[in-house]
Amino acid sequence: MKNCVSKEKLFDYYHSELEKEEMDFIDAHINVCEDCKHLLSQIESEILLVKETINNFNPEYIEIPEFSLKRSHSLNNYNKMKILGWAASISLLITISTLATQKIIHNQKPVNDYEYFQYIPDINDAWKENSITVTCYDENGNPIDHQVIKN
Amino acid sequence: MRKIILLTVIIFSLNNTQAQTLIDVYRKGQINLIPDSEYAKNTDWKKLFDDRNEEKYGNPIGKMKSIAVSDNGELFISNYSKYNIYKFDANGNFVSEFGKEGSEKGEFLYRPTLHGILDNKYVFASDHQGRIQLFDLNGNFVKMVKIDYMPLQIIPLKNNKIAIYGHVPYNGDVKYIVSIKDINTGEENIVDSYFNSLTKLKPITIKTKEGYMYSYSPSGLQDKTIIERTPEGNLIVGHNVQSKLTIFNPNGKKLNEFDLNLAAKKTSQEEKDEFLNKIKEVLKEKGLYEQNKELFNDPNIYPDYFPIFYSIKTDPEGNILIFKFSESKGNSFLVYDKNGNYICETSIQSDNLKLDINSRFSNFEIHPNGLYAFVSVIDSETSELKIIRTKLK
Repeated sequence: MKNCVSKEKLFDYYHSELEKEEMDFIDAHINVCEDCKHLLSQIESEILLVKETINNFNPEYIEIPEFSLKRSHSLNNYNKMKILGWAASISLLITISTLATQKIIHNQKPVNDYEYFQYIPDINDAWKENSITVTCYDENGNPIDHQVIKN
Repeated sequence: MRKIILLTVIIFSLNNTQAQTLIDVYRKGQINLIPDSEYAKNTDWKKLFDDRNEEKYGNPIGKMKSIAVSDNGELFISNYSKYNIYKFDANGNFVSEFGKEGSEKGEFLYRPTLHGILDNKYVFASDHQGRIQLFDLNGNFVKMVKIDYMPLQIIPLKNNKIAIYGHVPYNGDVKYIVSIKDINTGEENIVDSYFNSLTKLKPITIKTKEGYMYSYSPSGLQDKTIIERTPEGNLIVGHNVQSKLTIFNPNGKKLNEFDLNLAAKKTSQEEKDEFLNKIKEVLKEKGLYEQNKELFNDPNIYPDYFPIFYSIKTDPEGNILIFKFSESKGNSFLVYDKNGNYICETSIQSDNLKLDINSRFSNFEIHPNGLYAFVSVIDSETSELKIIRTKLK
């Protein structure tokens, strides 16, 4: 779309790191551009996920195996063992990180801002007005917009 | 002699005043939200609630606030938009604010909702990811308690126990639970649970070619569980589509179950047509109607019956207030005593103040000092928000 904002710019916008003029321009643009509004909400979700991951990931859980070195091992064998040991450690680290991340994503995805989008200020008013709650989800099933249509 | 007569009259009138109960107040048929002029008379609400017009993704986040009142009348209110909690003294004067956006202790990673005051010691709030943070009544962080499912409503009970209504994905379904948790030991006791829904109601779901999905449902008519606390610290569990309440003690033992004797109101064909036609209109505008019109034949997209109630509250005398859907002005509710005996119907009324009642944020509380409420001023050009106290007796 014409005048659309790059993801990098939106990232800076989210962190309020742009000049006022640019901030104002993007403010106005996302109010009228559904694509950029959607992209911004995606960025927000990604940032929150990263924050969540950092917050939950505990490096103390990563154990580096100890190697029992025998005097009879030659230096070459020792180096091979050392390399294999580090490789094993790195594999273990990657596996644990992946599992931890998957667990966090698994926990996070179904509840990501779900409740946030189900807000009805006064239930009796909504009933009286026979109003309709509309929730829009992205391709990953995350809610990205919410609206109440009044009759 | 005159003095004796005067003294007798004074004692008699004092006894009469003390004898008035909240049921006497409810039996008058109407509670008028008249602010106590002495309460918060010097508080600058415009400054404190400068977020009143703030919105995000169509939600009025500046108005999404919950209140809780301590035994001696100190009031706490959570500000969803500001990630913090305000404290007011017993006269309604602003004292302090605590909590902020962040991931440190006492900070909120996501927007917080205040859930009440536990044992008159801890004011506690959580975000929607199940991080429950407890503060003392001066706003000092005490501890964080985590739950591994998403809370929909949390209330304080007593003796370090809280009750949680929440849900969790479970083998492709959604499991809803009501649980009692000890914040010290972490021990948790599920007292009620069900899968997906108590009715067959489901939203109309439309997928677009871009991969977006739109879900349309009648606002506020979904079945849900509502939990409330009795003054003794017991748990009341009610499902809004069932005419009964169940009472559990803080250890999870079922104490009582009683029927409210309320019949669900049947929905009319006109109401259903109005709902469907509105969605058809929207879909036609988006060019999405033709390929989705078969969805409108599903009988479960609009309920056959309205939910019986939408909120439950208790008062300090143990009466249970059931808020029912009503066409009339104000907030109508039915009063039951602590044993489930029906007493009367009454309503909360005001000409210029609006009290929103929903199951997500607790906007009012009946306290021995009166009714505390977070309200909006109807005729205010600046959509002013404030906290009021109304004397009930």
